[in-house]
Parts: sequence; structure tokens; C-alpha cells
Amino acid sequence: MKNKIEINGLKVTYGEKQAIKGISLDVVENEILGIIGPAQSGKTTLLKVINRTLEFTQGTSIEGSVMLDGVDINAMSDVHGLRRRIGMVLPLPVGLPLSIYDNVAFAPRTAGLRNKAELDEIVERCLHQAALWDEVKDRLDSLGTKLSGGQQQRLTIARALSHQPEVLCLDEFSIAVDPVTTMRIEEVLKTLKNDMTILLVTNLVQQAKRLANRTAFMLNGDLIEIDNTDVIFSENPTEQATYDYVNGNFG
Amino acid sequence: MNMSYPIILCLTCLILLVTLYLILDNRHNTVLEESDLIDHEILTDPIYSLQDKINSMLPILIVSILIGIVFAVLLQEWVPAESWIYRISDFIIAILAGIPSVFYGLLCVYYFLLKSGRVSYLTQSLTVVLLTMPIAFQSTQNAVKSVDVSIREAVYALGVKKSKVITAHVLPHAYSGIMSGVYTAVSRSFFVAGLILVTFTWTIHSRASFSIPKNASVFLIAALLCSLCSSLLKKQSVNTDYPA
Ligand SMILES: Nc1ncnc2c1ncn2[C@@H]1O[C@H](COP(=O)(O)OP(=O)(O)OP(=O)(O)O)[C@@H](O)[C@H]1O
Ligand SMILES: [Mg+2]
Repeated sequence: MKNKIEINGLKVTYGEKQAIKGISLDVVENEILGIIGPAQSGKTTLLKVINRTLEFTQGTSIEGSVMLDGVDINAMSDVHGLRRRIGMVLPLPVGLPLSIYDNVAFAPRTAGLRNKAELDEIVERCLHQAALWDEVKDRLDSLGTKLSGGQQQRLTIARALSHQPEVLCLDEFSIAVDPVTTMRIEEVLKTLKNDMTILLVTNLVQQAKRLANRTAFMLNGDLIEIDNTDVIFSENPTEQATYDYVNGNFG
Repeated sequence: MNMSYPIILCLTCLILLVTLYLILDNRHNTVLEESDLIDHEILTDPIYSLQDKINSMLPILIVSILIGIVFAVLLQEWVPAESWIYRISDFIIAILAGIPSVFYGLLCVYYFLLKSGRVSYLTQSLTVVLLTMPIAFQSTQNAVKSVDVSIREAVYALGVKKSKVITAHVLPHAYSGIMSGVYTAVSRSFFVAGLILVTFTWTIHSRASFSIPKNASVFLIAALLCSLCSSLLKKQSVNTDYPA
């Protein structure tokens, strides 16, 4: 098994505030790594480091290294290329005020793809993968922002898949999605992991239990424990804090 | 930036006071004698020639507004807010934009036209630029600033280049805010054009009773319409749908 991402001694500060206090972990290729932890534990920050969108926040500093396929991401000169290798789904869907079709076709088009047939194929594939195709196939030209919240979230998943990323990061994707749709997306993720590596940040611990091969527990910027999901959710994980959080008697 | 607002206010007041003083001061006041009229090319010219001169400013008007918009986008998106270029530009433009259009108009009339007795292309152009550029700049800057960061981050996360993020998403979002500024700028310059026409017609036919000449009322009505458009567009500060 090959490591897709290797994080070593990662520290992130926002001004004075330490958001990540030196964590090291590996993400194995084609696994779903669940990342759980209470609010403020640094989960979103970790994802933003990986696709280098933390650069847009003023006053941050990063120490340590993040390797993608053995290459330090901060040493990569083509940051846009890096971001195309990493799909990102944010907690609340950000619908671009474009048609459903254009929402998905935007990234491939910007990357230079003009062939209509290829674009059609990408749009259809991504919408299928995001479990949205059947609901929108007859109105691909209507505005993406007019869809329901759950549909918009699936549209952002389709958009994130549109440049065939090697890594898919999902940050609490189910906040705005109903339970039935959540289950459908979870099924999709199980098949997607054959093609890519998935980082699943979630505050539904049961979601990590259902999906993740391994689970990492983060607390206040520290990585408390990372292990196979069945160990984390067993009666005796290494850390007491993990047991308490997973079983809901935290704090 | 907050610290500098009182300074801007004071400086603007100072400029206005000096302008008022210069205009109202008798020594500087240009009294139009019959003999003077001969020397003043502007007054010996028939009034429609003044109208022509104003019309010839149209390209300058367009260019000046475009420069304001482009400058604002470049400054806001590419120059860090802490840098001195940003601070100085922001400061100077805030002052220029804060001055009511009528002062630029009066300055133009009293100092550049009457004092020199000639209408120089440069003076007119400068007036148009001062009238419109700062307004176009400020409203573009505000419109671009108010585009939600989440939109930018979502587009950047797709691996899209900065220039493309701005042209494909930031500018369409900011569209109505920018257009509002364009209308304000046009309205300001039309207003001053109308004002100058009224003033001159009145001055030349000083014995005639006061009336607003037709060509001036065209400008004034256009100024009014633009100003209304601008205020309506301002209500819709960020576009939810991109313009077609
Ligand atoms: N833009 C920012 N500026 C300053 N501090 C920030 C910023 N974003 C996050 N932080 C701080 O960094 C820490 C980690 O935040 P982060 O968003 O990564 O947590 P999280 O685990 O994703 O929490 P949640 O479950 O609420 O999404 C928090 O203490 C937060 O206050
Ligand atoms: Mg978060």
C-alpha cells in the first residue's frame, strides 16, 4: 500500500492562534480516511493546507511538510495544477450562478477543454457520480443556484469531480443534505474510492464508522489518535479521549 | 484605514474652503466688461461651439471611467492593502471623490476658462477625469470587495487561475455595483456640462431674463436619469445571477 499524502510535523497558526499544533499522519492511496473531532479542532484548516487555499487567509503561517506522491506541495510551482489534483467540497454548497451544465463544465473548460462531446461526457459522468443525474438531466440549462440545498451540495461534488482529482476532500458535506441523500452520497463515495483517495471530515461520528477505512481523531489542533476505524470505534482505543468522543460522553 | 477618515474630512473641507474663497474673492472675480468679451474666445464664440467642445469630451469621459474601473480592479486584487501604493491611492481618490461636482465645474469655469480666456482641451479633459475617475474607481473597489470570499475560494479550489477567477466570477458578481458607479460618474459630468451651459448662456445674454437653454436641459435631464439609475443599481449591490 502506497502513501498518497504524507504530513510531517504540520503546524498552522492564524496570527497568534495555533490552529494545528504539530501533527503527522499518512493517507493511504484509495482509502477513505475519516477525520473526526469537535468544533475548532483544526479539521477544515488541515484540508485548506492540503489544497493550498489557506494562502487566501491573511496572517497565516505554516510549518512542517505535506507531501503528495512524495513531492512537497509547498515547493510545487504550479499551484493551480495541484488544486486540480485535489477536489474540495465545502460544508455549505457555493453555487456559482451558472447553469447546471456550466457549473460542472467550468473547470475542464478553463483548463482548455473545448470539445463539446467530451464536455458532455464529463458532465454526465460527474452528475452520475454525485447521484444527481436523474434529477437534473432534463434541465441542465437551468441555473445551478435554483436547485435545493441538497441538490446544490451534490452539484458541488460533481464540480469537484470534474477534473478527475486524485484526492477528494469532503468537509462536513452532509450539513445541508437530508439523511436519504446523505446515504446515497455515501454509497457513491464507497465506489469512488476505487479511483481516488478520500479525506472525509465529518462531525457525524457514525458516518466515519460507516465509511472510513481508518479514522483520525483531532482535538484542539492535536492529532489524538489515528487507527483502523474498527479500533477507534471499539471498546478499547488507545486514548480515553477518543473513546469518550466517539461514544458521545465528551466534555 | 479608519484613522485616516478624519484627515480626509479635514482636507476635503480645506480644499472646499480655499475654492470658495478664491471664487468669492473680489480680486479674482472676473467681471465681464464689453471690451473683455472680445478677448474671450469662449464668449465671442457662438454658444453652440461651447456645446461642440463639451461633446468632444465624450471619448475622454469613456476612457476616464474605464481607467477608473481597471485601476480599481488592479489595485484591489493585486496590490496588498498594507502597501503604501494602495494606501496613497485609496487616500487621494477618497478625497477627489468626496468633492461635489459643482466645485470642479466652478473651478473649470472661473480659473481655466475665464482666466485664460481660452478653452484648452487639456483643462476640459482634466475636469472630466477629476469628475468621473474617482467615482468609477471607488464604486468598482467597493463592488469587488463585497464579493463573498466563499465564491473566490470555491473557484480557486477548482484550480482556476487568478485572472480567470476575476473575469469569470468576481466581475460578473460585482457588475451592478460597478455599473452604478458608471452611472454616477456620467451623471456628474453631464450635470457639470449642463451647469456650464446655463452659466454661459446667462452670462452672455446677461440682460435677458433667466432661462435654461435647451441644450443644457438635455444634459441636466440625462444627469438626473443617470443618477436615478445609479441609486437603483446600488440597491442590488451584489449580483446573484451573472448578467447575460
Ligand atoms: N480565518 C481564520 N482566522 C483566524 N482564526 C481561524 C480562522 N479559521 C479558523 N481559525 C481558528 O483555527 C482553529 C481551527 O479552525 P477549523 O476551522 O480548522 O476547525 P474545525 O475543526 O474545522 O471546526 P468545525 O468543526 O467547527 O468546522 C479554530 O480555533 C479557529 O478559531
Ligand atoms: Mg470545519
